[in-house]
Amino acid sequence: MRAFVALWRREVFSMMVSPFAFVLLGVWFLLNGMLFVVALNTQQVMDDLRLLPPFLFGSGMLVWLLLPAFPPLLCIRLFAEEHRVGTLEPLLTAPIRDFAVVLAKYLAACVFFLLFWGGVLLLFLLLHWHGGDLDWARVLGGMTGAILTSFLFLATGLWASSWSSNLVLGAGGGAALNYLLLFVPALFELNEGALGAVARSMHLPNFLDRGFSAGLLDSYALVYMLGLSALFLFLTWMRLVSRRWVP
Amino acid sequence: MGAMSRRLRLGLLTMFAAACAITFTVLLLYTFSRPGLRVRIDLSSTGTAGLSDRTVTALNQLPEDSRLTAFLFPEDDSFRWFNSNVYPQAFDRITSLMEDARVQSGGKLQTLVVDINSPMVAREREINRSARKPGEAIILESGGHRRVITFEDLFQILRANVNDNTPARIQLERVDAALGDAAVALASGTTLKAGIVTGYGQASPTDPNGLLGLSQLLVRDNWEPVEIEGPADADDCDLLIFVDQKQPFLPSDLSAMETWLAEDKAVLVALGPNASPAAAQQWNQLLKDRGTGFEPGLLCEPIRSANGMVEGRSDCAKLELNSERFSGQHPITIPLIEDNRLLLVIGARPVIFQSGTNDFTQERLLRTDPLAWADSQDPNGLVFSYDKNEERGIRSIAVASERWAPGEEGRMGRIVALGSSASLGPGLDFNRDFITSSLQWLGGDERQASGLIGLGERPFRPDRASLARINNMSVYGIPGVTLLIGLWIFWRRKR
Repeated sequence: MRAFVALWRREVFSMMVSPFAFVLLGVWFLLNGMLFVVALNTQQVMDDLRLLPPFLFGSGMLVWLLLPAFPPLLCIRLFAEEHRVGTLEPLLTAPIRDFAVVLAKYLAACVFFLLFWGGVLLLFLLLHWHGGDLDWARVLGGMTGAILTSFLFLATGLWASSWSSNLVLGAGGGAALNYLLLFVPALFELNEGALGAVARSMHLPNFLDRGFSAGLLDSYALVYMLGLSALFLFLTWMRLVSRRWVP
Repeated sequence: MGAMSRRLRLGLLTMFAAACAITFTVLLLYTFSRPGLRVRIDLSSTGTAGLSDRTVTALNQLPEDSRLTAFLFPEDDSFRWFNSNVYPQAFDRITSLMEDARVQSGGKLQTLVVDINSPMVAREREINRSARKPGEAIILESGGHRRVITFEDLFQILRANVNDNTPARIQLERVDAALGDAAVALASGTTLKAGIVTGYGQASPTDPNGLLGLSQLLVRDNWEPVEIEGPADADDCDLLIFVDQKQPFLPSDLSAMETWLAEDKAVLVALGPNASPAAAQQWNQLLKDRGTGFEPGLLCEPIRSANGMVEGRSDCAKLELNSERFSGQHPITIPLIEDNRLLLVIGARPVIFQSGTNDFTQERLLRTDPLAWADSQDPNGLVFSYDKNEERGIRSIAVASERWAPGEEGRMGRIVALGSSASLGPGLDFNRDFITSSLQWLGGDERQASGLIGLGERPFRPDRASLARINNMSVYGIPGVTLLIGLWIFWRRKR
């Protein structure tokens, strides 16, 4: 446990002192700020601020474009870069279980990603301080959904990062996987029968748009996001374990 | 070889473990998607973000094959003028409640949201499958029956004002209540029976050139159409429909019809200009107490053209009715006015008011132009032009009558007298909204305004300085500070 905490702290610290992570954070804030301003300045949102959370966390560009791309970028340094610079082997031979390594890196990424969402929350607070009468159930619901989605995308990014030392492949593979998770169910959502039913039960933006952003927490959506995150963490662990056997 | 074999075994083991994990996750998701294990927590302070207990209970009573489809198409342009947020707000509310309905229905309800972003093929398929008409927002289907909820049924909207550029806005909404009403109606399984009388020379409800369209419309609106010879066979019907009549009633049917009316049961009678004069006379006697009846003749109007008013053409008998010609006081026509519908009534005879009794109220539903006349048969046939024997003026095309107060068995004695039979036959497509609305009223199911609640709008009207501050902080402030921190970290690490 002590080794796990030490590794987690090391990972969080290394992100906190990484210029790359802060550039990523800055770009994220910039793009989100622009989306926020564009949404806020539309007549519809000005007339009813309740429409802002669904726009940002549900059907807007944040979910469809930005959210799948950023978590894998944060994850590339977790395994792919360690592999590239040769520090992964010493880590795997250290007296710490492989799964603890995976979990420590993942939780560190999650904690750092909360900073990403902290900036978005700051935008809503800014609005509140300037007299915006926000529906906090919708804001916090939407943010909960978005945070859980980003945790899922971090898990897929981590898995993609564990596959090779190639940073582009790690980030690109993770992002591609995330886009698949978003777009494939959307394509088959209206299909009849089992295919349509499966697609609807995997449709992340629907969870965000029709559930979380409307101020409704759905147990299935929570299980879906946490379950898939756990699956990708397990697959990452399997990948690390198999490296010992098939380098 | 040994190392290869070991690698292969370990590789297979890894793949097996991964397959097990995926299977476990799928089973976990399947289990948690089961109705009993799925819960939704409403975070809103008012508790109205999801469906009410009444609606959830009603949805849970629906059979397994039930289907709820929402069509989110912004069809009324006036709801988009001046950047109105009617559609964003409405669609936001409908989609979140649809999802809640799916979850809370215990898996019995298959919900589908079709919008302008849906793939075109799937969109067309759903529209065709559900026979969706413009204006219909939600269709609930269960056990071969269906309830249609129009956009106007769901939202009470203050229309845009073009004089001061005020956008349309939603005043109140009743999505939850409307879903609940529809589910209750379908779950109760009470289908009203409509007897279509065919024993007096009327067209058949199975004939594509006859009343098949009407029959399909009845099924769509949760009626069970039954073909009957005459009123004497209509014991278990809730509504009698007469579309034209070529012969007068036989004594037994006349007596049954008198009893039917005395029991205050509902009637839709459409006698066109070609109906038997003796039958029309008989109906005038039957409807005398109700204060309505039929006159002979063919209603004609001059056609407005570039050369002025034109008469003497058969087109004069095609009456184009805009919302100004509908009653603004009656539940049948109010939705048509709100939707700005147009009707085309082809070949109609005048419907008249008779003295009636004080127990019934009458309302003219549809009327002609003030220049209209009832063309009478000339020796050479119809000439479609006004002559001195005829009288110009506003004529009624349809009249509704009902009791002022419910009768002994709580019935309202509702009657719709329509001067056109074609409106229920070949011309049904041009008058579908009117007929649907009439059937709803006759079935005691006119548009309910119950369950209306506010949306809880939260407008934001910042001054220019505040808005500029928010914009600057969002786009420059927060990202700028973050990038500066990154730069500082980079500089420190460099040192």
